[in-house]
Order: sequence, then C-alpha cells, then structure tokens
Amino acid sequence: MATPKPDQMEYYKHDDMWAVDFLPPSTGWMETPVNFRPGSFIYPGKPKHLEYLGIPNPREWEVTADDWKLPDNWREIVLKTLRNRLERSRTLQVFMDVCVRCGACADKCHFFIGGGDPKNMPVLRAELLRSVYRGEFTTAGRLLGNLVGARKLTIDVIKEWFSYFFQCTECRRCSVYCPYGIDTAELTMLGRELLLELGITVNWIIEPVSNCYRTGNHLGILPHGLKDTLEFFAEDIEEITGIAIEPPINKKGAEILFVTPSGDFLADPGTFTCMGYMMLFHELGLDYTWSTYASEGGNFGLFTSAEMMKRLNAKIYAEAKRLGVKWILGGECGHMWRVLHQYMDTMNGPADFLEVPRSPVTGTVFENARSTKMVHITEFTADLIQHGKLKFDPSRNDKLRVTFHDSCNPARGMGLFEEPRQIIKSVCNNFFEMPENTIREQTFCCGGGAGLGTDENMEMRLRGGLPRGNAVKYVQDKFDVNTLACVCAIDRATLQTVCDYWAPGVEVTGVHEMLANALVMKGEQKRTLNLRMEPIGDDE
Amino acid sequence: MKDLLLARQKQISKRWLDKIFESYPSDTSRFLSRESNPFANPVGRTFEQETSELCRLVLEGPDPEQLVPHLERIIKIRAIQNLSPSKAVSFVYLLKAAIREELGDCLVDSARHHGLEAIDRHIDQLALLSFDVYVKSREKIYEIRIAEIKRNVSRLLSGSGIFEPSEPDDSPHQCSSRGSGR
Ligand code: SF4
Ligand code: SF4
Repeated sequence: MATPKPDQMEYYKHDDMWAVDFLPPSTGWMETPVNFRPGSFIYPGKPKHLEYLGIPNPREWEVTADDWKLPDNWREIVLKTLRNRLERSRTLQVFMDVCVRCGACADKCHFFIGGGDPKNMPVLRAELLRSVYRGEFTTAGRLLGNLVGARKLTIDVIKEWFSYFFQCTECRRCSVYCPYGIDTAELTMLGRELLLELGITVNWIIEPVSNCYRTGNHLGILPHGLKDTLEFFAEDIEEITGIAIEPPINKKGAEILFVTPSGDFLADPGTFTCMGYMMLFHELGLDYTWSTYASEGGNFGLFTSAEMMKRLNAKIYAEAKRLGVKWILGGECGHMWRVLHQYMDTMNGPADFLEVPRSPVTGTVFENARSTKMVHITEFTADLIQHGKLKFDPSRNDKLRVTFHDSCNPARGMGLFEEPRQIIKSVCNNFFEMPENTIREQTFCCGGGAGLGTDENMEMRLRGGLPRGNAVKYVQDKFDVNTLACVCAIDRATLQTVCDYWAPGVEVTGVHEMLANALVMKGEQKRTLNLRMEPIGDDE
Repeated sequence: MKDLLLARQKQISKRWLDKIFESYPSDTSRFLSRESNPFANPVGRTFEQETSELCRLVLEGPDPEQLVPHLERIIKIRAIQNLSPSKAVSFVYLLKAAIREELGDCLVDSARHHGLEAIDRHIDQLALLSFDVYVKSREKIYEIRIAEIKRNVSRLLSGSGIFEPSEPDDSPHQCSSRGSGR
C-alpha cells in the first residue's frame, strides 16, 4: 500500500498513536526526511504563469506527491546553475566557505524560536545548501562525505530545499548576529533560484510576478480599475472630511511620481493608509501623480530571481522618465524598499534624468537618496513635521494605545527607525515600545515576508509570527496596547492574523492612516468618523 | 500522599518541564531550556511558567476552569508546531512519569500508591481537557485564515472592472489561487 499523505486519515497511524514515545527522531538532520503536512507548505506555481514568464519546466504538480515531474537532467541543471552563481557572485562563494558554525545565529530565527524545527536554525538552513556544495564541488567533501558535512544532491534534497527555503522570510535577523556578516537570506535567494531552474516555485509568488509583468502590479489591476479605486477612496474621504480630492493620474510634468504597493488598493487595512497618503498630498497641495503603469512598489521578483526582480523594477524609472517627473516618492512598504534602496540603482540606474529629491514644502534635500532619487514617505513626512508644516489633533486617536512594529526590510535594510516613530508620536498621545530585543534592528518578522504571506501555510506563518506576537501580547497585557502600527503592506495583511492568534484584540494600522485621522485639514468639516468609518469620540 | 506531592511540587514540575523539552530535537531542547529571556525564547519560558501553574493545580485537586487558561497558553503553541494531534497533547502524560520518577522509592508503600491513583485521574482529566483546547486552537486557525482572505479582497467589488477578466480555473487544489495582501 502506498504511504498515506498527510491529508489522509490513515496518515495518523493507529499503532503510532499508541506508541507515542515522546521522543524526537533519533536520526541526524541529513537522514530526517521532510514532513509535508498541510499548513506547512505553499501550493506550487501554476504552469500558465511560468510559461508567461519563460520559466523552465512549467507543469501541474503537487507538493505531497512522490513525483515532482522534474526534467531527466535535473541534477545537471542544478549543479550547473549553482556553479554559475558561485562564479558570478564572490559573496556567495565566501558564504559557502567562511561559516565557522559558531551558532551565534542559530537561535535568532523566528521560525526556529516558534516552531522548534532545527532545520530552521539559520546555520542549518544554509547548511542544506553548503552540504551539497561540499559534496559535489570540493575534494574533501567528495572523499569524506558525511564526515565533513558533505552529501550528494538527491531528489530528497530538492524537496528539503523547497520546504526550508520557503520557510525563510529573508528577514535577515540572523545576519545581525553573525560575526562574519553571513546573510542567510542571500542563501535562501540562491536556493530559490536553483529550484526555479527546475520550475519549482510557489503560486503565491509567481502569480503576482506574472501579473506585474503584464499589468504593472501584483494584483493585475488595470488602469481604469486603479482610477476607479482611487476615486472610491476620494468619495470616502469626502464623506469623512467634506473635502473633495481629485487624484492626479498619469499626469505628465508633475514634480513627483508616487509609487506604493498595490496591496494598498485592495486589502484592508492598507486601503486606509492609501487614503491617508491622498489626504496628506492634498493638504500640502503637492504636485504629484499616480501611475497606472508603475502601479506597484512591491517586487515579488525579489523572491523569485535577481533577473526577475530587475525586470519588474525597470518600470519605475521608465515611468518617471515618460512622465517627466523630478523625483520619486514611495509609500509604506517593506521588501519594496529593500529593492529600491539596495538594488534599483545598480540594476536599472543611474537615473541621471531625475533630480536629487528636494521637498517642495520645506526645501530639505534628501541627500540619502542622491543616487536612487527615491524617498520613503516617512522620511518625507517626518521632515514636514520637524518643520512644523502640519497641524494635528492627536486626541482624535485617543482610543488608540499604540506600539510600533519595525518591518524587517526598512529596519535592517535601510536603518529606518526614527522617522515612523516621530510621526506616530506626533499624531497620537499613547505610544509604547515593545521590548528592546524585539524592535529596531533586532525586530522580529511577521512570519509572512518573502512571499510566504498566503493562507494555505497558515500554521507555518503562526509559528514564524510567534515571537512578534509574544512581544505584542506583552505590551497588550502591560500597557493595554490595542493598536500595532507598521510601515509595510505585507505586515498590514499578515500581522493582523498574527495578532488575532497571539494577541487577540490588537488591530493593525498603517502610520499614514493614523496621521490622516489626526491631520487638521484646511476647510474640513468636524470629524466624527475615522477612515474606517468608525466614530472617533465616545459618542458611539 | 497529597502533602508529599505538594512538598515536592517544585521538583515535580521541573522534571515535567525537562521531559517536555526533551521531546523536542536536541538542539531545540537545549535552546528551550537554556535561554532565559522570555522574548528571545517565548516558547521555553511560557512552558516553564504554565507547567508550573498546572502542576500546582493538579496536585491541589484541579478545578477545570482554572486549568484551561494555562493549558491554552501551552497548547496554542503546540497546535502550530507541525505536531500530530496526539503528539501535541501528549505532554500532559509526561506529568505521570515525572511524579513517579520524583517519588521513586516512596511508592513502594501501597497506601501511597493508592493516593497516586487519585492524582492519575486528575491528570487524565487534564488530558481530556487538553483535547478540547487543542481543537479550539485549530478552529481558531481556520477562523483567522478565512478572516484574512476576506480582508485581502475587501475592496474587490464584483464587476467593477478592476481586474482583468480571468478564465475559469480547473487546476487541482494545490494550484488554487486567491486574492491579495501583497
Ligand atoms: S553566526 Fe555566522 S559563522 Fe556563526 S554559525 Fe551562523 S552563519 Fe556561521
Ligand atoms: S527567516 Fe530571517 S532569521 Fe530566519 S534564516 Fe531567514 S533570514 Fe535568517
């Protein structure tokens, strides 16, 4: 009889149940096979998206099936790609050789901390690749095998890679603690690129990539759809503030191009943050434009391959050029900023046709963006606040007792710690920090980054979100915190779920949603509703 | 018997905790027991706190209402750790072994053995309760999963033309697609 799959009842063998021995598997990690239980993996990429993007081996396949329908020469493909990547990138070669297995990173990954699976220790996650590198490419490894932590590439290794490289959110918390600066996230990216050559990826990543390649955004929103969406938002804003806003779209010659993740157009509570941007820009009288082509700040190409990331990113500069803007402003997002801040300039720059960003309101020149020409919205807004250009009534947020989650990429990727905090403190009266070892560069991931934020792997995400949820629960118990603010579109979607499980009662908000609620606008009516259409005061 | 158990309560709950930690792979078990910061090691420290409370309650003669919140804090974690249902609640039975190990020689006395039966019944009760709690945690997971999907398409107005029209989808369930949140 075939071995039952985890979604069949026979999977829970009765004999096993009687013999629950309370002990972990006694095999070493190399011999312990992957356990694909539902809730612990993401569904495979659909062939139509792979075809559209020109990715090899598009096919229907199932993670729990024995046969993953790989091409006959799969070993050759993987080893060739691995060799090529090592030659191309000196960093990867160094990461392969230099780890001394000191273990400093071992207990820093949220997936290990929450779930307890040793293969989620960053050092072991990297070892999944390194062992094959040793076994296939080094003499010692070829001769001594297991003794020197080397092994051959087998189908089981491929399955293990799929499991664990899609259980890493590329958050880089581990790298903060590594004395050699080894970045496990980069190794995860490498691992995913190797799998992609065999047509192995997850649909939650590859569908948005394919959408984005076709329509300019992950969700596949068409130009008129985006226009409708922004107009809906404007209607809500008018109802709340009495102020009519006309969102400028594809406006040639505007001073600033504004780009934000498309999740803000469709998913609550990101939608409220999006309304927040619109209100702020209106109040400032900013000469800006939305683009229906550069309608996505996020870039799931980052979770696919370097090549794909570059392809998707190219539209931002292209659109800035077409519209003839001076510089680019970007919305609240996480991984979007990793791409913009660290890769865009070298991938698709230099953007010589743009000017060094200068705030038209305060005159501040954003020297930090001298080369990319793209400024983070919280940098822009914090500067306005510092110059006293905005008027707030923080008491409108008095129902909120707020803490702030540093999103991994803006925090560790670009050192954005103070700006969001400064805004939050200006627009509300009750702010409380989570414990020190869970914020700023030590922040814990939401568990859903790097393309893991879908729902079929919910258990996995809740494991990964445990350390963050635990810290939120702590401030909830201690300070009655009921609001978790963040500057990331993925967080806005995934952290609400993390809170619903680990700290029920806490709601997630974007920073510019809070700001817009407190913003005193010229000519506004007395505000009785917040952007969620909930009453502001006690008169419910 | 009760007095004896209460006197050894600390040692018993320590043994119980160690056994729970040992049921994890060795690297994990070392981490869970050693790291003392509750934010760096939320699982280990939660288990420590809650098993000690549960142990006290069981030895004192348990009241289900008091047991549940402590059980919940442990099982909520076990429910998402990729464990089979039986394994997820199995930690309760380790308390029996912990008590027997701690009492050791004292158990030769048959009167005392009799006293132990009462405690065993309490532990069995705890195990039954833990199954309820486990199922509740799992139901919560499904509930929040659905809530998230709904939030992610909150602005999706059917027929609004926001999206490209898509062809009907007949791929197998592992290839299903859905809304947004990205
Ligand atoms: S901290 Fe760095 S050197 Fe130490 S085990 Fe981790 S990756 Fe290797
Ligand atoms: S999820 Fe984050 S901490 Fe864990 S291995 Fe990946 S980059 Fe490191």
